[in-house]
Amino acid sequence: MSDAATLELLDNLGKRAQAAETFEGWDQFFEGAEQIIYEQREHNESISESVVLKVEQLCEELLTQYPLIVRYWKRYVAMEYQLRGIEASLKLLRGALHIFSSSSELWCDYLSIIINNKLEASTTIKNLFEQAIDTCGRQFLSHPLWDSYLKWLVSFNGESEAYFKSLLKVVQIPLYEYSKYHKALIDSLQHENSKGKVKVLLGVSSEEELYQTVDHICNRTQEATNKRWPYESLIKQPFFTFEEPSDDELNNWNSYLDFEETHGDKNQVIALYERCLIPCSRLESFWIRYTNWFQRSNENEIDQLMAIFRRGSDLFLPPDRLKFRYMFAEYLSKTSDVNVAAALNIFHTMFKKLPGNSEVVRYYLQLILQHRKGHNFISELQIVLEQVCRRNDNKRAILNSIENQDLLKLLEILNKKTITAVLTLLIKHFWTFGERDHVELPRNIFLSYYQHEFLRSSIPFWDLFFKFECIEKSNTNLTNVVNHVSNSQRVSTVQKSNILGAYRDCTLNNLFAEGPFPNINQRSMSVAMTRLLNAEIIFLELKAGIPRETKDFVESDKRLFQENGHSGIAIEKQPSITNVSNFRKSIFEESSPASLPTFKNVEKAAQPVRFEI
Amino acid sequence: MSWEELSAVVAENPNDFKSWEKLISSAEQINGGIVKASSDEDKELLRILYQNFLVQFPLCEQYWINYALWEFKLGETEKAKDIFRKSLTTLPRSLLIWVAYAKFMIDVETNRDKLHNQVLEKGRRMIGLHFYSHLYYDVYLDYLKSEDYKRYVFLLRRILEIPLYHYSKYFKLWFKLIENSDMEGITLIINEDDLKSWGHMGLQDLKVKLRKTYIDLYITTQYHTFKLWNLEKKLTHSNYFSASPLQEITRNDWVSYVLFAYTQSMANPHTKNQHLPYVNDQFFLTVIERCLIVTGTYQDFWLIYAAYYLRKNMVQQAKEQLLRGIYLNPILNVDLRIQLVDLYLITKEVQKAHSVIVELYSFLPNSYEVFLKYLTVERLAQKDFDLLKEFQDKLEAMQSTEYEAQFDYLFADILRYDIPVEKLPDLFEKYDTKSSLIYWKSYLSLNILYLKSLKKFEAIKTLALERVNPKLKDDLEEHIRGIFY
Repeated sequence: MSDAATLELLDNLGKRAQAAETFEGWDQFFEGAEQIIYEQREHNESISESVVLKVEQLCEELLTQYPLIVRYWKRYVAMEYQLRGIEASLKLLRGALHIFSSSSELWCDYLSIIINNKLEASTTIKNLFEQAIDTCGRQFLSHPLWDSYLKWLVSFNGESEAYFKSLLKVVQIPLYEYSKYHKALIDSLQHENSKGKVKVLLGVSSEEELYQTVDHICNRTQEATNKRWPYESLIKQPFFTFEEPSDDELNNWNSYLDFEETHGDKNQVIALYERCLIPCSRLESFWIRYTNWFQRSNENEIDQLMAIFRRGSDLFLPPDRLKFRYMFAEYLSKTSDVNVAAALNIFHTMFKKLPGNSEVVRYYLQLILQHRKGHNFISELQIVLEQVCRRNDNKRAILNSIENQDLLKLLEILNKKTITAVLTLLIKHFWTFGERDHVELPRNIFLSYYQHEFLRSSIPFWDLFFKFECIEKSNTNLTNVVNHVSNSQRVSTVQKSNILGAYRDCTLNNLFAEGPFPNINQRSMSVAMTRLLNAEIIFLELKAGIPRETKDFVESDKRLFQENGHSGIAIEKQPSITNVSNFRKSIFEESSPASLPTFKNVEKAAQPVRFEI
Repeated sequence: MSWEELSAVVAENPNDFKSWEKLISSAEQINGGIVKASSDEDKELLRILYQNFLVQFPLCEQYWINYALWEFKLGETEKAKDIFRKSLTTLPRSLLIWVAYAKFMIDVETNRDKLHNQVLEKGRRMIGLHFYSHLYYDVYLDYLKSEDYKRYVFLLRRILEIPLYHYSKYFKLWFKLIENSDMEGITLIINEDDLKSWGHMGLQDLKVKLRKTYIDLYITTQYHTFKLWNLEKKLTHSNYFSASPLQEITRNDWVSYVLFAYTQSMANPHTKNQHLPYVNDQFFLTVIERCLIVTGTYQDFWLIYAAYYLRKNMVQQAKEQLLRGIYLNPILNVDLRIQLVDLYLITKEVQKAHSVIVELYSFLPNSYEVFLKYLTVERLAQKDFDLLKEFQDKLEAMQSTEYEAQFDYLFADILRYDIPVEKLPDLFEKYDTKSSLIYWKSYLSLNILYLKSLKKFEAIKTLALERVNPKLKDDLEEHIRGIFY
């Protein structure tokens, strides 16, 4: 195969794997790449640099997106070994461990390569082992790592003090194979020499005390293991998968974490969080839980907390998880004023990834308001709003009138979807900070923007408008809002029914009452009547299994509309009779045969029926 | 079980369908079986049993029919007719009853006009669009074939346009009719105008051309039959009332079908030239009534039925359907009654609304929804009704009961009533040891959005974050954020 063809093949496999997000897709990619390397080796051909680079690039891309899959790291390392030799593959493993340090399997691989090839000095190896034990040694199934450490210690220096130090460490950790280490410890007490070392390490003098202490440790560990077993036995999927773990699995992690948080020591809790964040790495709630716990229990370890925040927001969580990132930003801004810039930077990255998300803008504005508001923030924000919605020609003059640098940055990225956040924030500001009887200011903003095309489908805007008029009790405006929303083509049916439901409660509760709600007028009467049961119907539709997602809703709306011939939407052409008999007319009143049937679209009749519900 | 034992069982538990069935069949067998010559006492017993049974299970079509036919067997033809008529007011579009009624009336009704207009044609209008109405059409056609051949052909021609389970059977009949017709027979199939417009042609050519035209009709009807079949096929097992609970999936399939018919009936008038046989109200009414025979003891379908009339601005009919539903539903299905109350309020019939809600409230004093509606109506019914006091009393009464969490929502809803907001802080303050999220949310809203007191708000915020259920603290913080940003 020519290089060009090989490159194309690899590219295709890589793209497919990326798009598929299944193990099959990834397997196919790795098999393809391995096959190419194998064949070229077979024919004793050297592999061209461009192919090598391609393989590396694709592997990097895949594993950057999903860095927590051990077996693909292993295959990548194996390929790298074939392509570039041992040094490179070791470097790669080091990189993998940097991102995925909670994998004891990768640690074992890394260390066994180093030991087998005698690549490092023994002190370095010992340090690496200690590092591995620190990060993974408390995992319930970490015995392979402990085994290889203990084995290495013995082979290196016999049953030395270092060996017993580690042995005494492992016997205190609740592990699946805890009894193996207990036995090893008790066995070693047969030898006087070992006994002496253990005595010293445990700080006991008499034989009796020694056995008592060892017994005590072993019993305590056994008990701790048994307590954890009910949770451990329910973990069916400790590894990463593309699908979200099942509810049972998640509940188990949560109750296990509850248990550790109340019973375990700090390191045990951290170890469990790190384990849990392998299968649950894409679930925001666990990251939030982790950082919340960490802040509560480890107040002084700011660097470690930052690292957790960074990992969650930069490496693992999908871009649209805003809450965790917002927590991070908030934490940063609270630590010091210098960090506010870093916090705002988090949002600048998000603007790029989620250009149409008004929530990001909302969080951003909140952060500025809380930490670097400046003097004319609100009036400058109004200028920003005006500029985006009205497209003032004299842009330069506008830019000059805004001093706040953060707002200038915001102005660059605002668009018709995100402007909602600015508008609602302004209204809320005037509404909540205004005088009690001065509702005209926020109301005027509503009134001057509600017809703007950018806001036609903005749910936050219409929700707020509805709530505002509900509380400020302008019946006419309220009715207008409801009419506007219910006639809008761009608001989803669910949202409509929410607002209509709220409107029904609001008006019926206050029907006939004196005061701000006068007798229901003719117009809202018809709204209440014709739409009264709308909400129930939507619920039924949902129950009937019509899709919940908004985009699918549009689809099913279209389907329903097609069926009922809604104007303005292309109607599916169906065969029909154009002179259908009058169903209600009695056949005893007819004296001559009906006209011959005439048709429309009868040619469609032979086609299969497209309608499914 | 003996007759006495069975009657004791149903007296004890009137919902025990199986025992009722046994009881009725044993009454039918009493003293060697009920016949015309049986004692008045035995006959009366059977009647009373049927009547009571049908009060309990009015959706059992077959029992209505059996009851009517018993009267007929006992020589009481007029009584039988009355029972049929009564059953059709309860279940106006029951296919089963119409078929039995038509058969029965063909046998006994001597007044042909009456038979044609008040039975056969009326039935056709009521259930002629039913997917399985071949059962009815077969009886009808059979009758016409011997009595009025011309109308037999006319009816057959009408049926061809309707999507039916057995549509092809009628096309076969029709094509055979064309095939076997002589020149005179043809004049029942095609009218003079159409014949003229086709110009002069021989009998065979005419038949070929007719056949071709009706093949187009055949495939058109077939198309729509298939379309309905998509929905029908899921419901083939669900055509009659059953005393056992309906499966969720069946219920959903009925919802799909009813909503389909609903959207058809709501078609935009501009596109009504689509001329589908089922783009009309009759189709919806046929489907919903048919569905309600199966699902009448569930409230969802009555709500759709009422919604249908509301969309058409026919409030009176909407109320009537709700009343029918209320009669068939257990009192725990409160939605129907609450909806009816709403309708009474809109049409300003406060007294009627009042009597419905007071009864409901007395049955279900711990239902939050019912309580709120009760307040609304009471206040409209009595000028000096003290709403705030009512709220206070209820909150007090519900404290430390299992309903407390539910009634915490009162704090949110209280804001929606037009009680002067100045009166509310005292009430809220009294409960500030609560951990309920909705309470704290509402308390905060009250201060910032209604009373516009930022200072007070800040003070309560501190308190709220301290006292709210720790698991819900995040939600509360999010809510507070949403007030300002």
